[in-house]
Amino acid sequence: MNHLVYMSRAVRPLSDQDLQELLAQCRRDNARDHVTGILFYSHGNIAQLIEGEADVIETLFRRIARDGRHSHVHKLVEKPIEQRSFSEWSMAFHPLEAGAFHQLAGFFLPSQVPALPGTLTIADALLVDLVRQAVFGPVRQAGQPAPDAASA
Amino acid sequence: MRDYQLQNILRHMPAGIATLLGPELRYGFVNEAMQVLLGAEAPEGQALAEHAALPEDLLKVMQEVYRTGKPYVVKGYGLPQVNAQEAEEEPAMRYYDLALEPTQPEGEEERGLLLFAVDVTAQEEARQRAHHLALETRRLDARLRVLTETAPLITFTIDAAGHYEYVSPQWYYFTGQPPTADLNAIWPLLIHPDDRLRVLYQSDAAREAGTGWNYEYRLRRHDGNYRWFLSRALPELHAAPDKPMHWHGAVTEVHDQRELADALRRGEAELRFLADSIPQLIWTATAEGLIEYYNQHTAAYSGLSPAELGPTGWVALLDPTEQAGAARRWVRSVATGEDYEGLFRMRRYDGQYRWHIIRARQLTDERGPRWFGACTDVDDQHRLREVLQLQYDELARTNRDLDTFVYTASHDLKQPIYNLRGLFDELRRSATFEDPEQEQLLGMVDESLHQLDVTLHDLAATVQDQRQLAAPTEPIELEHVTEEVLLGLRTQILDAQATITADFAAAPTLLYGRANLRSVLHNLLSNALKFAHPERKSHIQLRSTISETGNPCLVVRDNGLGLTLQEESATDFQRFERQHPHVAGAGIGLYLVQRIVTSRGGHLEVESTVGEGTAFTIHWFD
Repeated sequence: MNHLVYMSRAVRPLSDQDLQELLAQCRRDNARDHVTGILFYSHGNIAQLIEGEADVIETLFRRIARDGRHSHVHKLVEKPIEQRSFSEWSMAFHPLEAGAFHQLAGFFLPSQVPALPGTLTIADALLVDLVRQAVFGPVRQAGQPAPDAASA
Repeated sequence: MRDYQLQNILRHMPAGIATLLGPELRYGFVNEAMQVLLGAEAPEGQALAEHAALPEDLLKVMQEVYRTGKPYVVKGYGLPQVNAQEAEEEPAMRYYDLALEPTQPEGEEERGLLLFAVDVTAQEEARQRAHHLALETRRLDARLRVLTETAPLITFTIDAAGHYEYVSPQWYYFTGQPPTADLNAIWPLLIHPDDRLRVLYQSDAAREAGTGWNYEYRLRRHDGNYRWFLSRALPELHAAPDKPMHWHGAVTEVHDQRELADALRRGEAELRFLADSIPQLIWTATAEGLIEYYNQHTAAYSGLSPAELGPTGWVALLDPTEQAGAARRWVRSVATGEDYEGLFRMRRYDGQYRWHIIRARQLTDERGPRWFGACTDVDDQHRLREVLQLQYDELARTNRDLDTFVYTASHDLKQPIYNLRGLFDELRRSATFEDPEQEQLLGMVDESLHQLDVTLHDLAATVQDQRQLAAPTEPIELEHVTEEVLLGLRTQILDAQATITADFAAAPTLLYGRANLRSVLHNLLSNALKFAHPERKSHIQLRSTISETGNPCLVVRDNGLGLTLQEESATDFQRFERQHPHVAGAGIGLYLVQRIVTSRGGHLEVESTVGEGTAFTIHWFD
């Protein structure tokens, strides 16, 4: 079991339609491949954590890196983990028209992303917090982003 | 019939044919093509000059040919094309080869001219175009030459064998070689010896392979200095794509860029070397707060490679209880750009945790923000401080215990003294002394008891003052405190018949500990009263002043016995040092004053003349 985190830039801004299609397609493919994780998108900035079997993740990332819809794909970490930290694959972004998205499975508004699970090490949780901050900008409310001390 | 056929052929010939008769050059036979030339139908018998608008010079030449009877040929003669429909437009020029042949037809009286015209407009236009092209080519050629010879680079052409066919004049300017120099022999010699073999090999190899090249080398300038050049050449593939015969290229000076790039590389390498040499953990992070570089010491300390540590792995080195807080603060620093600083325990490769100060600052320049951080091992200092703190606490406790002991002892000893005094009083009353000296003995016992009492009282006061040194400060009216103190000393003042004057106008208030101030005044005043001169009335002056450095002072001047100062302006009063053994007192007063003043950040000065008086100056603050 491996997990992998990368950041990239969309070649052109993604519309609500693009995002919705991406969400549906990735949910389907990732469910089939037993890939879980989360994708952050805002203003062309992309960061994603994916977890799954090592060879699945490797193949998936190779396909992601070749995807023409984004560039500057920069892998930050790829390493073995003992267990999954995400139960499914989901996406967080600011849709232009929020109403249409609330019903969609696997969608979160950036401010409503659940707290990171304690199964992540603090170093990995810090990494996710930093890439999320890089995508969405600093979090307003204090104390929300950091992992619980008990997880150490 | 044949005549008719001939006429028909002539009439439709594409060349113009006309016969002109008589000195007036009247029209005879004029075919269609000639009519086009003349621009109108030519009625037989009409004079050419009257009908057609032919140029003057052509008419003259025709008349001359008629007169002399010698034929003449005009090549490429231009005539404006007459077009009835578009008369207002500028008529297009058409060009003709004209043959003028004098004739005298058989059986006819009159001589005439045979005019034969072939339209050569197309040829003429082609010729003119060729002429313009030649001019344009010359112009372009000149421009190319100027460009080639003034551009700040050397251009060249080399053949497949490696012989130079052309080199632009800049080569001669740069190298200082004469125009007669043998390029093929000299050029390789001007290449820096360290680069020569490489350059020759690369150029030969490229020509062999039929490809271009692109390399840098140092070329010797006319002044003997070598400068870096970039040589680029491409094969000429138009004629023979498989086996090019020529290479064209340019040599550009890149010395300054190269020096700059070298300096940058050197600078970066030096900085990295520096970072790697420092026995601290040094790292840099991106704007997002992801670490991209750890120095070598980090790997040596942690036992983990930069790849193992990863962009956030540093946090895993911290003590587990501190990781979450450190991560939160780092996220916040990255968000706000604030400096990051903290004291953390970091795990060494052997599992031992050592105290480190972690500091990181953000650098923002045209390349965007980046973070530079360092973790400094302060474990030894930290442990030393812990040991010192422990010792300090122990000493402070011992000191407190001693104070308490002295205070308790002095307090506990008072009761036995009262008892003794009572017993002696009782003894004096009930006992009778045979010897008067024995009675005197009793008086001495009394005096000793009194002195013991005073000493105990002073000891208790010392301890009390010690505790008050830590008391908080407040603004105090000097006058009020002085009044309080004088009230307490009323008996002594009356005994000494002392006059006391006070002037606090210069600095009426003082920021000080109230009990300390009272103690200082009490001791100085009681001292002055105690050491009053027996032959004159005591006069004590109190005056507040402001020192040169702008700090408040207090001067207490008396006209008493004076002190014997051990050295010039000596102010070191040892505890229990008695200046005047015949006067009562434990000698603890000045010691106390000194102690209070110095511990509050000031100092005490004294001037004294034996038999005249003493002046103490208290500098409250330095």
